[in-house]
Amino acid sequence: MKKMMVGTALALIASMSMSMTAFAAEDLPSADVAEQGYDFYKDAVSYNDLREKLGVVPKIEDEITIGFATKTFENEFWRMEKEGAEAAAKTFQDAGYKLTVDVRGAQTETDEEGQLTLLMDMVNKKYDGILISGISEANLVPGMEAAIEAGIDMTTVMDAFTPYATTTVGAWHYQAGVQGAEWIYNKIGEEGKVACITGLSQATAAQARTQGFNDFYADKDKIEVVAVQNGDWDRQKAYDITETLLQQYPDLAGIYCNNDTMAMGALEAVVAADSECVIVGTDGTSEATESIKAGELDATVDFFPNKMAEIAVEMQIRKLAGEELPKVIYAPQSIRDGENVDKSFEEIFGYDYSPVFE
Amino acid sequence: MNAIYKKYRREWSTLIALFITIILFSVLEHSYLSATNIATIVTQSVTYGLMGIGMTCVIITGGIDLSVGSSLALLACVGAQLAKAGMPIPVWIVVCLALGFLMGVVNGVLVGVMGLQPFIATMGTMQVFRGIAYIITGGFPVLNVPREYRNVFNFKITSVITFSVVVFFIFAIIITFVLKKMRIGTYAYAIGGNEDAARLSGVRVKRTKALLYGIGMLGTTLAALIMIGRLGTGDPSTGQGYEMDAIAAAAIGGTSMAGGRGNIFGTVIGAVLFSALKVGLVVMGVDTFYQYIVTGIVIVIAAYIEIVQGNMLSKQKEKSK
Repeated sequence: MKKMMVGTALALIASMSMSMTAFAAEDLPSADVAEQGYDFYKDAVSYNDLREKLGVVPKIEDEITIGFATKTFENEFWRMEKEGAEAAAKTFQDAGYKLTVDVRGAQTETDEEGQLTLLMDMVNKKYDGILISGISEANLVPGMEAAIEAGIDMTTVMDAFTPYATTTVGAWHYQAGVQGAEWIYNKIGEEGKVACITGLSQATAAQARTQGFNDFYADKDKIEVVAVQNGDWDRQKAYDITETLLQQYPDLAGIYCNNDTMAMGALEAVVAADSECVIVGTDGTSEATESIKAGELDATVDFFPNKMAEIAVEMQIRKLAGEELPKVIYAPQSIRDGENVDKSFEEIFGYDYSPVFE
Repeated sequence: MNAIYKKYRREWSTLIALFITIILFSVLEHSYLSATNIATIVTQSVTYGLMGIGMTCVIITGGIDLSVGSSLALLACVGAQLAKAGMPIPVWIVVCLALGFLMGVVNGVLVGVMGLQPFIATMGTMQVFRGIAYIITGGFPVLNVPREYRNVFNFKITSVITFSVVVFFIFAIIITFVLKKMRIGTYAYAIGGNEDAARLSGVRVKRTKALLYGIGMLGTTLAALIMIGRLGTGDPSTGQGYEMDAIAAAAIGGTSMAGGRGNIFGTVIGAVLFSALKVGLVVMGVDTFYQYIVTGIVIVIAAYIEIVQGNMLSKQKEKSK
């Protein structure tokens, strides 16, 4: 009896490992991107450059349904992504496409199983294409494998990058770190002490942003990077770290934060300490841009999440119509500071995004 | 002196651990021992400390409160909204404290009266409180709390120390008094030591538990009001994982997870030690990945000291027989 059970268990494990190796890593659509690193992929294209080369959006007569398995709507960033996707749906419907966009979010930042469940549901319903923003790089793997088997094309929006999607439309995190660092560099007169407050998560976004920050200052002799500390994406933790750093280095000139929530915490500590230290955040949440308008926060690297989702929907439709697209498309991103916080997307980038129809 | 030492034997070892930590960091980084830095350490211990004191009350009864992190977020959001609505400050403080107390009593009723496992009951309310925080704010942080509300608990006494530190110590003294001098405190230790025995000796177990969860949540409420003061914001996403830091402060301070043992003095020292460690690692510029390891090791060592001391104590008792 015991032997039989062991045998069954072994067979089960064997069959499971077989099904797990059904997709060899090197055969996945974006395997080469994974190998080079999403932020460093040599064939990556910025949407700002790509838009000139794209023609009109091909017409699709059939009914199409696109799913968007995104992260939690607790977070404003993903609510903005949702709004963008829904706005895109409306644009395409107005242009005569029979398009339905089904946006569903995981319950919390850590609801990895729940997100997999909703992706599986979209696969089972045989959606034509699925947009994906996985909580981690791994939690959606079974769902993405099922999607590939069912012949459903996928686009990653923002993150987490996975090789299973044929295209990723997202922020260039590394560049965001560089932009933040560069803004501080110019603001503080190209010399002084700077620090970085990072977020740590399953996603590589925080690491890439921090690397961009560090790399920018690597050859700047008059800049001293005095600290790179983890704030766990948390407001209070960023406050505490900033308070400590300002004790240690009263002449600290600038802090770059991996997200806006931490930037707002750091800002309060700077105000409490009566310091001149400049704070730059990342994401472009409404809280951050409001604060910049009020003359409090210095700057943020804005990812324009709603535009990003609109572009992602357009790209998914182009792929469904048979177009070949780059594997990595960096969505428009820009520093927002006192100078341009009131300006519209069009004024910042010199064009207004909207899909071009026949 | 000797009597005091014997009574607070466990807390002295936490205090010694604190001094060793401070000396160690000072040797490695001279600026660590500056007055302002020490003030920073104490100020930053306030949040964990207040929540840790509340946690200690609950742990002594043999329970646990996992909902304090979510409660912190909810109370901060409600507090910020009420402040923005212009509620008179004294009323504002009383209403927030009453709400916090009630939230704690909900936990206490689930555990004490309805007999749910504390771990499960507070895991449930942890989700519920977080959900309410998101619903009442629509998921957006409540911004721009007026300055006069922020200053209530957070006005500066010196250039570095804020009133929050005083609140922390006063709360610690009050709860120490409650646990050591009042009947409810004696009951709490009795319940944690042996619940059946306590019940048979006439302790009203249900009511005591319900009240202690409520009293404990007052610490989290004060932490929330201080948070509003420091950040000027009620953020529904904040406080995630803070329950673990509160438990760590209590555990480092010698509170036994089995219940029946622990005191507030130890938790206060535990919170300061925890903060000294965090600040020290930042000042030293220790890579953040290693910070997790160092913090974890300190918690394990603190727990081990507890065991070693327990063994030594029982050996001494045997000898004296």
